Amino acid sequence: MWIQFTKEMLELFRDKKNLLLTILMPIVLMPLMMIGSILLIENVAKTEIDKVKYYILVNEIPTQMQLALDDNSSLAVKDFDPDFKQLIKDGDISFALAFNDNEYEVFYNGSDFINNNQAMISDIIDEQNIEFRISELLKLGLSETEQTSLLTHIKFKQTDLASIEQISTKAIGGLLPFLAIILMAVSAIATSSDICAGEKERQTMETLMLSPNSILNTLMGKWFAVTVFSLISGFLMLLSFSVGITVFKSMIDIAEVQKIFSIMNMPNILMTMLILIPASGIISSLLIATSTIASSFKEAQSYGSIALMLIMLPQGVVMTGIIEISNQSIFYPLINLSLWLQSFFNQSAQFSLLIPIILVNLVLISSLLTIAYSLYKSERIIFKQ
Amino acid sequence: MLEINHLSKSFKLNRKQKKQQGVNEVFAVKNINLKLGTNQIVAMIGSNGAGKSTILRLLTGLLIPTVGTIKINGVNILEDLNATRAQIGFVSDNTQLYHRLTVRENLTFFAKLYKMQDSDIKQRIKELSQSMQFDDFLDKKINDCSTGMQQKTNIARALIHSPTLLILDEPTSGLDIKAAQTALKIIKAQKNENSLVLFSTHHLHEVETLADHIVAIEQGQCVFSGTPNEFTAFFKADSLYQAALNCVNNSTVN
Repeated sequence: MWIQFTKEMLELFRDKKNLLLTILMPIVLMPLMMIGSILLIENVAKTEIDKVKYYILVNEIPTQMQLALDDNSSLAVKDFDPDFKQLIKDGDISFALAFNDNEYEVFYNGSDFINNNQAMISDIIDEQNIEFRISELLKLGLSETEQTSLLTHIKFKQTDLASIEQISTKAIGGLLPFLAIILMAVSAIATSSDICAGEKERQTMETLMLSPNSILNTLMGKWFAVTVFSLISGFLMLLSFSVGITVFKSMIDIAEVQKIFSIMNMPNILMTMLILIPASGIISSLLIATSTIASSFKEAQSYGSIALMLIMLPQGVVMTGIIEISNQSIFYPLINLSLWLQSFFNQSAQFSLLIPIILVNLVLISSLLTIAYSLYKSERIIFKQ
Repeated sequence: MLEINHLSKSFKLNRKQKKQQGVNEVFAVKNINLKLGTNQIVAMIGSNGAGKSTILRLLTGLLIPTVGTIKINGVNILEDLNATRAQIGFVSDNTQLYHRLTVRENLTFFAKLYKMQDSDIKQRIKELSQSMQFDDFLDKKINDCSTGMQQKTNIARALIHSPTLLILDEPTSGLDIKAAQTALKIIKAQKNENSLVLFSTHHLHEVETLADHIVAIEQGQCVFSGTPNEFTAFFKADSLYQAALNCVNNSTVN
């Protein structure tokens, strides 16, 4: 097995395409993508916050409302334009306000999520309504207690107890294994296609099968090489992501973003690395099996793309946070690893669950390798060209 | 040394082929019986698709016989396939080398698979590279070697573990005259190594130059086994070329 493994590693390290996917992509591309998107969001948000929003008054509005709007420094009124609806659609103004028969009407563009101001107008109206009612009730000579009992109705109050750290740990706890697993799968597709289907295409499979090396040794050597290569990819992505975040942390001057990044600490990174080991074992055994069926590199990559979808979709579900680690979800291989990691990030991980989780994943790895082994024993499959 | 008894090999057909041919399987090799001793070079001749390559792959254990037995030095190859493979060296168009590895790395890898010790591997590579004159290319990647040099390395790969049975499937196919001549010289040299060399070819001058024994295969069956002189006599010809032609024509008519 070691002889086979050493040969595979030597060959894979001499292939520029593999190195590009396994080494360069996780080091450069992934952190750049992440940090690029954060900077972009930050930039867009800042621009929108700083931007003065214009509005138009369709007709004369009550003085109280006028004063409330004037008090808002981010708002500026524009002269009336009969074509104000088009101006809203074109984004030239944020909204227009009309007042008729004690009714305010706000014209706005619902697709422009950032510039929606109808909630702000509604709040002002609510406040003015209360003030109006109090003044009217005072005219009736009602006492303060009587006013309160008349005006107080059932209220709805929301209190979000989640801290920014909790929200971010949930998000990153889902995102990090998702990105690492996808990247490992991409690397495993390239390497497994190369050392399984590639052997058939380059006509080295028969040379290999002629040797007195057992099929099991050959298969395990190949599986181990793909696993190690995909792990290198996942580890490099994690490390470069962490280094990238440390460097860029100082460049992003938003307290919330700083808090989000603070969860990328050493224990979390190390635990993610440990969890990636069985994950890469599953990914590589699945891709070894699919690329053994293929007779060419191209065919193996097509099968690999289907396998990638099988890996990606459940991981996507994990990322959304719909499911959590439970006595039922521990039986879903690969997903259970991501879910457990998510709970570790949330500091609610049960270490006793690790044993059944690892066992479930080992069963899947063994099953996939058994399939690959039976494929290797088939004349039709192994010598198909 | 090599004993083949009632050897047959069938291949299952796919749905489309079954419909076209009206059968579930086809026999590529039918009831072959052969006995070949050491210290000789055996040429296997026959038309394209006659079943030569299938027989040779059956001998290496790459394919498993449907019926029959193959014994090397009295041992059925299926009883201990790995031990048998350690006695066989095989070269064909389908046994290529790893292009990203050097000549030395390729030879070392395969030698290790044959469980050779590091010191023995070094010694054997030295011997082979000197006798086959490729010591200057040992550290060149296969990708950077010419087709002739690749074939030389491939034969060296098959000889690395000093096999007693060397099988070559069309060893000069695709080689230029000089490279082919070198390959033939290497094959000839194996006759004196207390081993059996079995090669298939379409080039009758190679048979004339090298073969002590001829095995003619047509339509999956062995139609002749004997010396070159016996071959010409059997097919009532005055030359090897005419005998081979008669062999093909007779078998087609039959």
